[in-house]
Amino acid sequence: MQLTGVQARRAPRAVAVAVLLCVIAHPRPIAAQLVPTARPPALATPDTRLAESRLAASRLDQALAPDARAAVAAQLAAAARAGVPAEPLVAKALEGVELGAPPPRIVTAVGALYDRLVAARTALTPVVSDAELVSGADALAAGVPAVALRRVRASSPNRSAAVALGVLAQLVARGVPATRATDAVTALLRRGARPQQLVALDSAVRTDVASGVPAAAALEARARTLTGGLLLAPGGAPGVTTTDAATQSAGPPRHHP
Amino acid sequence: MMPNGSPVPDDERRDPALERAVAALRPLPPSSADAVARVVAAAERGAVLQRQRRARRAATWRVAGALGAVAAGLALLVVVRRPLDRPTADRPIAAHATSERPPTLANDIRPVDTVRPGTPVLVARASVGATDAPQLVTFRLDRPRASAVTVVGDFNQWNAHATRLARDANGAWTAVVPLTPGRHAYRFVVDDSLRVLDPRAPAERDAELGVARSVVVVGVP
Repeated sequence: MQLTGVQARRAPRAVAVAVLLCVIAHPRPIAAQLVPTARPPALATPDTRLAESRLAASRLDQALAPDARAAVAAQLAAAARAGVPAEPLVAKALEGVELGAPPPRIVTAVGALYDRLVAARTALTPVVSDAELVSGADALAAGVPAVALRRVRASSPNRSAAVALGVLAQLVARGVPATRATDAVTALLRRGARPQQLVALDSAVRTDVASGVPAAAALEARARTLTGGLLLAPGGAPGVTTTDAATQSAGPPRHHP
Repeated sequence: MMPNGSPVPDDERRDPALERAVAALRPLPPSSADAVARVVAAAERGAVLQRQRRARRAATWRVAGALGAVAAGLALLVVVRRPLDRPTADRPIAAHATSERPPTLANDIRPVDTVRPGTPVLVARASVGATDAPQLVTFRLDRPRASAVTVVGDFNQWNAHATRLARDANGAWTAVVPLTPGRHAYRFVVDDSLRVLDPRAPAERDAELGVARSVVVVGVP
């Protein structure tokens, strides 16, 4: 290929411009590789929630006695107005039916869950997903105070806190004081711990507790090990997989009487 | 005698090589200034042409190099993109697990294929890229003498007939269920009547309904 002097000088620039145009024309596939999409699904609109609640109520028609059905349907409508999902309330009612619980108890259980969902919604505002509302309600049932939910929200402002709240509920249910459990979970969130790492932490603490270690001590030791392996990310950026040395356990924490 | 007519210096007269050169050149006719000028001009033109050829070759290689880099970049995009598009179904992640020896965080994340028989498992396989996408979770109950086992939970509306487990040759009943990340409650129903908790999972008591149920927290990689 023979080029004149001017063409030879301009050719590399032309190629570079062509490449840039290709990148601009196809930003999605290239950007998708560079920045994985991590946006959770959008929350349902009030109209959608109302339609969902009616559909959910219809599923209880065959399962509940008329009085209980009307009471639960009223709760479902209230849930739609309050912006909380109806599905967990229906599941609670159906669980009661499956267990053969008396209708008044089912209605009470659904009402209590509704109250917790509303409280969770208040504490977790801005809500990222329905799943975290359910986990938040479970955490409140386990004894986690609402202020702890707010702290978790603050530590995970743009990502769903469903897993973190689920782990928090488990830790508190296992006997870890709520404040210490919240401190540990929020600290790990701020350092970029992934949901799966939190789940593994909970599993490790559970096994330590089964071995006789006090829950708080087990959490402290396991959280320290996990923290030591996480890259510090004050901005909340996702952390990197821990090193082998950091994830290897030295055995269950020893309790010194 | 020198070409300009001056006598040869004494020291040069004694150099045999010089004397031979002088002897060889003396018979030649005098050089023409015009001829010399033409030769010099031709040499200069040749040098210019050579420089121009070198410059063109360099430009050609620059363009070829740029095109090659573009092609390599595009090929890299295609190669790198393909694995990200495919769900990594072969990357199992433990939702929770217990074992007889103290577990480590790394041990909780183990491939399903290497889990020893009898080791309690509740393993999730994850796909890449979504934070709330359902994760596959394996439920397992060891009941060799049971004729039917199902799992009921908040993920199937507590329907005792929705999710049946399959029995393997060792009498272990298993089922793989997609669960959204978060906390889930469940129970096993054995032979359509007996409700049992998962011996390998933590349990909680539902205060309102007054019953116990097993709990699993499903994570996201």
